[in-house]
Amino acid sequence: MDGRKHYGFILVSSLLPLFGVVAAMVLLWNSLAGPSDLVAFLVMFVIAGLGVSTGYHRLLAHRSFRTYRPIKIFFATAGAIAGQGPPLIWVAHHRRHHRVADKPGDPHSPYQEEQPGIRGALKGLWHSHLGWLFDPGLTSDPIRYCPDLARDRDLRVISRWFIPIVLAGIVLPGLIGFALTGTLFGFATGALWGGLVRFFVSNHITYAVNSIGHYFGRRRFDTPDESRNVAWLAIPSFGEAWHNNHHAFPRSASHGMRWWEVDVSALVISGLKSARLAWDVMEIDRERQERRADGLRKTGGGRQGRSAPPVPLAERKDAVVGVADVE
Amino acid sequence: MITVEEVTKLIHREMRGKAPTGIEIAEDTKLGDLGLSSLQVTEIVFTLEETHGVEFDPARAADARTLGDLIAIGNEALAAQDSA
Repeated sequence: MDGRKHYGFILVSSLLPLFGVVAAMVLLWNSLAGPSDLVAFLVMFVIAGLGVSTGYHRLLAHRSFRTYRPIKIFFATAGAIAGQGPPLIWVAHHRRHHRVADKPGDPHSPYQEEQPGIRGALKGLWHSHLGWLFDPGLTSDPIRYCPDLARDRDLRVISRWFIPIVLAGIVLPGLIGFALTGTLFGFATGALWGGLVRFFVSNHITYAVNSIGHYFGRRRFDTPDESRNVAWLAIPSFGEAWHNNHHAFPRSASHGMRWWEVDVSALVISGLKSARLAWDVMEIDRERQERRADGLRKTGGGRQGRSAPPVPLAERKDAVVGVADVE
Repeated sequence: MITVEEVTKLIHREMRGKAPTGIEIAEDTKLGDLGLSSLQVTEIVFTLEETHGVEFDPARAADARTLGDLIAIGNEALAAQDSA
């Protein structure tokens, strides 16, 4: 997708689901929503949510665990269904975000071009939520940021077929609706709830991790960025909202670091591990957490905090990019 | 050996048959002028890797400006592989 097509895709993919939500409200108001719609919504919400969290984020971007090829393909396809972009592009943006979090070059920091006052704050939040996707200059080169993944033909194929996969993710809940009701109306409302409404809800939850998750919430670790743990977002985001923990330990398979920090994605990964379907799971014990917290307390955190290296290797012309450097 | 013809074919495949208008594809053609997205360039580079069984240096490939630059990086890697 070039700049104009990208703009068009973002526009359609943010407005159409919004209209879908309005249509769904009208139907709901007139008692025209049934259990089949709820089933279609929940099934697709879980598929898209785990696709982004367990698949795109933990398996691909941070290599928090390893698994068999069919499971990798399943999670990457599920992630594509969520509609947040092809895996290679999503991961490239995300790895860049980690390298320069809340500093110049971060694709979605709420502190970019910081302006004073409440208006400035809202502008920043909007940019980090959805506004950044409308930036005509937005580009994170997959060759630079995820050559490891681009060498995987499966991920290139899924990236190439991104839009048909997104559309299939709207037809599929329609089929669930049809199977449960046997009517075309059931198909249409299933596609509405499990497709458009799910698209809206699930994407705004991910966006909220980028906006709210760098603005409001607690910080356990003084990371050199503004990442926050946002407890109320934890369950709907499948654990992604323990975002400060995640910035302290990007590769950790679990973003929740206490028993009460519910992390559904981590439960899925440990379930896969128990079933011997996942291995090399990155686990960070309490002692390592404490040591990191102590260390960061000394260096001082926040967006003014020092990050090492000062200029990310991935942004330097003369440096060879290693995978370890960009994840 | 990676040739301009081979890369041109891949570019046409990425463009789904729609040739870039008004541009003749040659070694000095700038990648940016072809209207390819970063994903499409990625697809071309890593398809070349797969066909020739070679690894491009990602940092240099990401900095390549012209078709010739890209081909040179690939051919250098091929030559290094042959002499090893």
